[in-house]
Amino acid sequence: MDKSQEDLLKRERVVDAFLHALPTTETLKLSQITNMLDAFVYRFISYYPTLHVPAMLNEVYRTSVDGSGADIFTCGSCGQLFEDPVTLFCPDDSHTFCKNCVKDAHRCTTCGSSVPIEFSSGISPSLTIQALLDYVFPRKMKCYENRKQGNRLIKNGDFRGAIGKYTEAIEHDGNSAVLFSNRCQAYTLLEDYTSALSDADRTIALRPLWSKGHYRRAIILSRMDNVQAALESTLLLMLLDRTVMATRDLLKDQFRRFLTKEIGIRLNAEVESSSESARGSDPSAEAEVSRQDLTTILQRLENTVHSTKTSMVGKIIEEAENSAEKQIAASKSSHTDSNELPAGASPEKLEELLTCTLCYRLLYRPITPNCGHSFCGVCLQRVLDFKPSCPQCRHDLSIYLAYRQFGVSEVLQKFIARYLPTQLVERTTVHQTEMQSLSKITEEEMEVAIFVLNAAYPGMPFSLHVFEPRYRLMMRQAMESGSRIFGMCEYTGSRGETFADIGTMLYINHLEHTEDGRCFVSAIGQRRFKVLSRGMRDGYHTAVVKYIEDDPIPAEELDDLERLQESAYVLVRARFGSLSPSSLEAVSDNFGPLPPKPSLTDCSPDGPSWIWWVAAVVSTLFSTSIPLLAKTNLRNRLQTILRVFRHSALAFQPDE
Amino acid sequence: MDGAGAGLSKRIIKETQRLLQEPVVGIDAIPDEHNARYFHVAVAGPEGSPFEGGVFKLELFLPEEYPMSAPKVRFMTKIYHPNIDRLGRICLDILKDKWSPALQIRTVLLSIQALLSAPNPDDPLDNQVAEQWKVNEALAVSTAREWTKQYAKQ
Repeated sequence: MDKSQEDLLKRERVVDAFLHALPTTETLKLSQITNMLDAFVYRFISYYPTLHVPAMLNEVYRTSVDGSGADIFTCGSCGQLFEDPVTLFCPDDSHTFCKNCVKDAHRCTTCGSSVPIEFSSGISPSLTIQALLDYVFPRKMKCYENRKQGNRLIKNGDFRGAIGKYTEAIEHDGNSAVLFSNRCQAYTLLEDYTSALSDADRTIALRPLWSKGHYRRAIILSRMDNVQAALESTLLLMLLDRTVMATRDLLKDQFRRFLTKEIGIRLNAEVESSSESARGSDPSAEAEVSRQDLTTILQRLENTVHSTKTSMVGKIIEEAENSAEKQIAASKSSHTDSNELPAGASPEKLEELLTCTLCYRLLYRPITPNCGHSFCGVCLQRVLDFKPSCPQCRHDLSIYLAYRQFGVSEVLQKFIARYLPTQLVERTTVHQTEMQSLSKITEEEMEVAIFVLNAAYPGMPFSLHVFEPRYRLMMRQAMESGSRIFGMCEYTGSRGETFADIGTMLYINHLEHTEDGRCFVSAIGQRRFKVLSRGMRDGYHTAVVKYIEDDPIPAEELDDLERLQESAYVLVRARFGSLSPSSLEAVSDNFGPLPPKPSLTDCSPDGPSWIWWVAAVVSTLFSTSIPLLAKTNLRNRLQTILRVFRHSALAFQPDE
Repeated sequence: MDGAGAGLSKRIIKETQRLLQEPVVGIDAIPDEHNARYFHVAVAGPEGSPFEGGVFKLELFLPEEYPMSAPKVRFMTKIYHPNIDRLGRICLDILKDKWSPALQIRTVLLSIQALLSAPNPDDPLDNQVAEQWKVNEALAVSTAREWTKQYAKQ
């Protein structure tokens, strides 16, 4: 049964669908009819065919804001100029919306990325975007200010005051549908329906497809007891936008009033006598109506539905096209050269508004935390190395450490690219130069960051737990510059220079962050280097270094050296072989097995790798270093190993 | 010095320019000619304070990590103040845990000037002076005035 009512509605047969839900008696009580209205309206909204509103018309509003730069400042959700713009926490480009448009939203509607609750709760408007809006659109922002004041006054019940504020705003901007709509509401609350209706009509003329205008109009007409017009307005609202929650109640109300009125007229006409109609305020509550009369009345309802659909909606869409065209034309005329600065804006002022408060330069790849302050991405990350709180307001920023996500404010980035293009190029060049200068690696001399800790060895893994701010920065720069390289030198602070003259380059294989910003680094030793000069950068050591390599092996010494290597290797293998199984396992887990002994004719500039394996194992597991790193003479290194392993058993009691 | 430090150097250059162009009333801060991170500072004792009439010399140094780390500031002129010790070290929150990289040399100097106007014996650095300030403020103030006359007159 329900199925076929659904079917009838789908085929727009309103009369049949309505009667379908009623008893088949000859006469029907009005209460029987009104009781089934709720269910009927629900089905009517669900199944009555949807209109095809060209998608392009919804798009129209997105580009319809007048003035240069407006497209950048247009909310992706409501299509209007930003109001209290908040920037979300998207991974790549962070998108911006009006604060009201993202209320309780857990996802960015532009890119679909989720917004963590700790970010969305208590999110504040972007101060930089707001400053730009105030500067570029002073008139619009004044209007918005007036409107907000008006809205506050409405909340406080001062409808006349609110009308004053809206009128003031309308004087600045006579093309804002929202302003007319709000003033319309204030007039409605004041029960000045004539003025309210005029504002509702104006709202609809400005934005024909906006459901709010039609909603307001329906309410006003209903209050004015214009039953037919109120019904038409409500039907129009429903046909345009069924998602508005209030539509259902409004439609039910209009249906009821329409039927009550029509049936009442019929009853009055039939009875003629005064006894029935004078009985009370609701004379037709227990009234009965014949099936035939009801059918006639419902036919008029169906006709209204049809005519609304065929003629009124068509008219509205046509108007929308026209008004859209008008608005596009208007915006195009002021958009002739989109790279031109917004009228009256000076580049100096824009630069001032877009200066990072940390480095005092143009914001570069700016990030906007939920407190609303903006900083260069690099500057913000440096701040986080020290303390996860906003430098301006001390707002907690630990979310950035937990998520390691630094989405750039799309709006600021686009604005800078369009209106300060040369400044951006300059700024980008500066940044790139900085990144390149972090590690100048050539075959000759190079400048590298120096991590001062323990000796690292060529080809051997080296693990680090990085917690100091300066070393966090160093690791990040190594990753960002793409080199993944830094120098490791042993600490020698107690004797002369802070760090040793000889070090080893490390290559970062893997880097993992903890939630509080520390990181674990797995690196692998590269070549050895010699420090030529020392420096400082951002709190850590740097050095100009030069790779060192083993002395060439004279041909006549080759056989002798091979024999020396053999005896050292055999000794080492035997010594390590005598370790307890648990120690052997620990060694192997950290450094792998003892590397094979190579032929000395094909060695790297750092010589046989098994020597570095021995050095790394001894220094890590037995906390003793064998002075091998600085020796560029292979014979020298082998003799040292022989001496250590022959005369000292110190390295082999690790299990105490 | 180049590298990423250049960005922060640009900040130091700008801060220095502004300090020279629009100096804080009652405060001179002049960069050392050999070291742009080192400033020679002279603060006039604020009116109405026991330090009025004196000129106090300070040194201000911007460490390598500035502005991530606070400037290091020290009084060179002897001063009788509960929040400044005999070595000239200053007890001021924004120079320690309350430092923020959004603060500047200017803000630091203004805060020091304010500290001279309003000594805070409840957060002392020099306990003896602070004790005196609490027990007998009138005596402490007159000692401070005495010291100002003795050490801070030009």
